[in-house]
Amino acid sequence: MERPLISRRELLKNAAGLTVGLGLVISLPVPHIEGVPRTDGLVLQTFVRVFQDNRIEIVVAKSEMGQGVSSSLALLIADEMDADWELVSVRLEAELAAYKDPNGWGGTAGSTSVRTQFKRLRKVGANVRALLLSAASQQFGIPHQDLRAERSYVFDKNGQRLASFGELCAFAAHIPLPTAVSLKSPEQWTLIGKDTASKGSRAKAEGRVSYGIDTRLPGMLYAAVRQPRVFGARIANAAELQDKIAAPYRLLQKDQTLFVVGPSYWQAQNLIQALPVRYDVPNVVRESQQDLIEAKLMAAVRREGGISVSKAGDGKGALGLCEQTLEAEYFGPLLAHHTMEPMNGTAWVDAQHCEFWLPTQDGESSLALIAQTLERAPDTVQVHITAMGGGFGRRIEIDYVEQLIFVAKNIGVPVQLIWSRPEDTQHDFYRPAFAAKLKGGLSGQELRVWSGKNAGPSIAKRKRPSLELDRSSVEGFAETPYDIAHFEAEHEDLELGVPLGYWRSVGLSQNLFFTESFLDEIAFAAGRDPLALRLSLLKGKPRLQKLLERLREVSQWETSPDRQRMGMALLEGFGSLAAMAAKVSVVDKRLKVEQLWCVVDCGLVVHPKGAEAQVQGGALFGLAAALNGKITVKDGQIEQAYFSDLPFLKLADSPRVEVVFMPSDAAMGGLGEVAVPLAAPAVCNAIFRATGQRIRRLPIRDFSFPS
Amino acid sequence: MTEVNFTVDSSGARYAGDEKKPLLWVLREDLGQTQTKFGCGAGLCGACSVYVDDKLVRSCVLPISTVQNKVVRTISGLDDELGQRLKAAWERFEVAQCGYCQPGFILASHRLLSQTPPGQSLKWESISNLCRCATYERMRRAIEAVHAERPSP
Repeated sequence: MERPLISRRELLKNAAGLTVGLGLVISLPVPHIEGVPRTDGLVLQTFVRVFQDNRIEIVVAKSEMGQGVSSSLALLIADEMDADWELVSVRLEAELAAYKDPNGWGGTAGSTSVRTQFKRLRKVGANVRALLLSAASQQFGIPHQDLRAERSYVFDKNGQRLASFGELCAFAAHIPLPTAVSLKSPEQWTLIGKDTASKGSRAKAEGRVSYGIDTRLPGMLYAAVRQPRVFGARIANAAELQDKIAAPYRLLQKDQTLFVVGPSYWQAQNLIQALPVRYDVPNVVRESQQDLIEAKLMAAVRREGGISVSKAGDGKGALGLCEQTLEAEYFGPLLAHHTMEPMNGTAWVDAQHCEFWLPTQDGESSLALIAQTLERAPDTVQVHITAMGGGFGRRIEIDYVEQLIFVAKNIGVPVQLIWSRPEDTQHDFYRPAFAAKLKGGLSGQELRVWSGKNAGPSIAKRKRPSLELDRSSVEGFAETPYDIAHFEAEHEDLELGVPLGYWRSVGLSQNLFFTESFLDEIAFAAGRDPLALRLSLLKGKPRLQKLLERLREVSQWETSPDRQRMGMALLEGFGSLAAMAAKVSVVDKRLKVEQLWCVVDCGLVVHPKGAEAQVQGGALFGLAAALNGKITVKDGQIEQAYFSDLPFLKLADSPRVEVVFMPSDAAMGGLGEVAVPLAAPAVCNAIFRATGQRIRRLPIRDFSFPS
Repeated sequence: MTEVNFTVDSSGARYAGDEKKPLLWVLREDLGQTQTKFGCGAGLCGACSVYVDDKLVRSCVLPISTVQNKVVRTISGLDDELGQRLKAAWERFEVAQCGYCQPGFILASHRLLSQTPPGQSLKWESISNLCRCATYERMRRAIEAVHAERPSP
């Protein structure tokens, strides 16, 4: 193992005297100094700084958008360090090239942060603890094995307190890293799996968190953005626009996007909105209508053919042999992400600066794009990933970063680019609209055949046009957790002329609505309880069986007086298992979702408080979309603009959510998305049971309910 | 050009400029106070909520001319007993996820509790703010806890 090096940036900071009281910086063999990323050495995605006053700062190099990585990743290090969690502060930062996981992607998505960094970050913590213990060993002349660390202090074998981590760090900075460091066993954990408090709750309640849009720089200007409302439209009167904007405001144009830059965002936004822009609209785009989009998708699922994505037994061929068959068609609309903090970014680009403050889920691609566009070496570009007001997959896209680079380069002073809410709504990368047709075959009460075809546009093909099958289009559709003798799934890829992107829980967000609704239809056709039918199809899958048994208990599935108003759904995805039951009522023709129960098996629960928050929030995020979410297209443009066009779930409409974890020894799964897809089928299945009305297209608000 | 004198969280403030500029942007751009958030610009989401005197307003649609000689209270100045209790409950229940909308929610909760005598049931529909992380479950627990611990008159 190598001596810890201090990164170039730390040296700069120390030289400038900015990091006061710095005792020890554990850092890595820096890839851009070494030339190649290393996998053998101590590669820290995360800095640990131990200060002489015993404070510890842990730097998390993943994007924090509310999913809680600032706590869940930091506590992995802190636990192995035997740090006092109260003394730990977390700083979000990413010197991307240097601290990137050599085996992974630098971005933040797919419910992957904790499960992919679990071992790596614990090793970081274990190395720091070993280093501090070895410093104590040498300083006090006591063998290493007779020392132990607890809550940021080192003790001897008699329990005598010798020194704090802070007191040891000056010495520790000059000794080599110990080799062959071992990790704690689970029973030694003090923070992992415990009721560890989340970092930042107080700061958020006091409004002290600085999001991307809160970045303030000396002499900073603001840029407002106007993109054509109609997809594919072109500005027809660019020459006439220039003299419509008077100093100190400036008009810039990049392709079909206009920017007004000046000292006030509010004023810039007023000016850009008032610009008399005329657009040329291609005819083909004019024909982009919601009913045509839906008709195209429905026609695709009704016709034979498409890619066969999975088959077991005789597949759909076995349908003809069944005593009873049933079929149903489903539709899921386009959806927007609607982060509360609109798209924005801040940059300072001039002869001395190339620095960006970005609320992004993909700092790595942002940095590469900046370096490439500005023709600079990547290590001369600084990217700060700021706290962000929601992500949900929207900030994987770096369209707004591309705009910011252009504006910053042309303006030459610090500038903050902000999208208005209508821009944010109308220029999203939407969750694709999808349709599905499903067929089931029964022998007596047994489900023997399952066949389905779904159709919708690919997200990944935008960047990889040659891709044959976009797995995200069929996740949760090509496979189900159930043991069905004859199974077949087909898929047809269709272009809809609308920009598409990754929306929290991606393909499962629509596919689980299709499959879990249809399984419910089968249960009722077969005269079976939906939960009992699922259990019968999960033979040999004890984790899933236990999960359903637990759901049965917590929701009082069979004993509740309200059981005729309850529905459920089950999901296997993101490496986790989850099930949800929902209870609804219809009073005065008004649907109310009264309660959700979620049972989750994600293996080890690293940070129970954060995990519960993710499942609660995910369930309600999914419910908000199921009840109200839709984006529609008319004349080639998105019809919705403000929140008033999209009634969201509010506090008064929000059901109670009860979350139960079933820790298991299984490999760790993700949690940020797992509850999202369950809400639509669980609630629609409950609505069917309560009212007899089967909802096969979302959102639910498009339906009316008799009392 | 209009001159407006007002108070923000017990400090005096003066603005000179377009009288139609919304309070939100005066706070964020002219006074450098970013604790009050921009969410929609149309008074719909409540991220920009502040008190003006004792009235809760959506500052993104409130012209600055209307706060002449008035007292603006943002999340930073919400430090009466109820405000402190709410912030403490928000921390204890770990309500926030991304946190962006939370100052607006705390202000709206402050008004709801101010208008609800101890022991009476809470009118949740009076809070029309939006939270996209959907932190509603914990938010309700936090508000209920603060409501329950208030002394009876």
